[in-house]
Amino acid sequence: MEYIAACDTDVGIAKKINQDSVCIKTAKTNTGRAALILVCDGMGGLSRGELASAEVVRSFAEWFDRELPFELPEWDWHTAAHNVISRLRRLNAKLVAYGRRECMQLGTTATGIIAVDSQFMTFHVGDTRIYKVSDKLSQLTDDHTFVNREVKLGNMTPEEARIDPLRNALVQCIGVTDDVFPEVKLGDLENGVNYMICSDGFRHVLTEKELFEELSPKKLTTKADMQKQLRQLIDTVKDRDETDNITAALFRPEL
Amino acid sequence: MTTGEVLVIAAAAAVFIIINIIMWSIIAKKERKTNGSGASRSKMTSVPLSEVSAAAAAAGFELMENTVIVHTDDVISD
Repeated sequence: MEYIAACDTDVGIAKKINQDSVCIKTAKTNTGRAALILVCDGMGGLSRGELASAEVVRSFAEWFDRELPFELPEWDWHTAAHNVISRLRRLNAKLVAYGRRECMQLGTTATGIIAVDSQFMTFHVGDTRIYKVSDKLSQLTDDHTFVNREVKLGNMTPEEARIDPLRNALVQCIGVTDDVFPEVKLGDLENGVNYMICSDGFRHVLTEKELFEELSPKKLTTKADMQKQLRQLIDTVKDRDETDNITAALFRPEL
Repeated sequence: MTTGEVLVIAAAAAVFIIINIIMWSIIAKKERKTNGSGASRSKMTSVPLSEVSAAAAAAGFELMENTVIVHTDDVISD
């Protein structure tokens, strides 16, 4: 069994600060593998978004290094899911309290994958997305945006949502409201499939067809392939005048 | 004061002194014992985390890929 992962991020062509944070960690034990892939998109309209995203990424990175080794011998996915939700809620409270203390608003999305051996968990708050790229492209997360909620309620069509001025407005993220309801899903990893986590800046100007073709598991099988392709796609996104920060991470389990 | 009375007082004083010596030696012995076990407790709490983790953590846990990218050195203290 092997886990392959790569990531890349770019400030983009318009902003002075990259407010995104990203983390990829993989580890091996005597009995298997573990991985953490996490992308956090600091809120563009809010001050200190880079601090918000950094706090979340650092917290999960420290968990992977310091706590996961103790949790693995008695690993239980339902306990792990509970702990991830608790961690996200603690981070939310911390950022909300900091914002009130400093009279500023800061927030971030938090979308990640935790994999242990042949199973995985996704956790998600905001509009950063996880895609599974196999023989087709599947979106594994649900955007926590105003327009997505309106589409689900039948108040708006997907076409209207794409051009709505509020298409980027989030209904929940980490650090803005007093409570947060993370979406957590459990599943089995599929062999030779690429999982991709990306900020909205990465995907806005790329079509689903392009994402599928360029991130195909047949095309990207090594870390070097993944790294090179992510940089090429980021350059394409910049050429198409995307103004947001651009971040993506790829994860491929070889079971 | 008769010689007999002096002898009784001397004997009582001697007994008092002997009892005190025995009592203080017992107290001193107990204190040494208490200090000794305190020291060992202190040693137990100061065992480095790495030694504890060797027993409790997943065997052979080894980081393979370790990339963390953030764009600020600022941190929010708890």
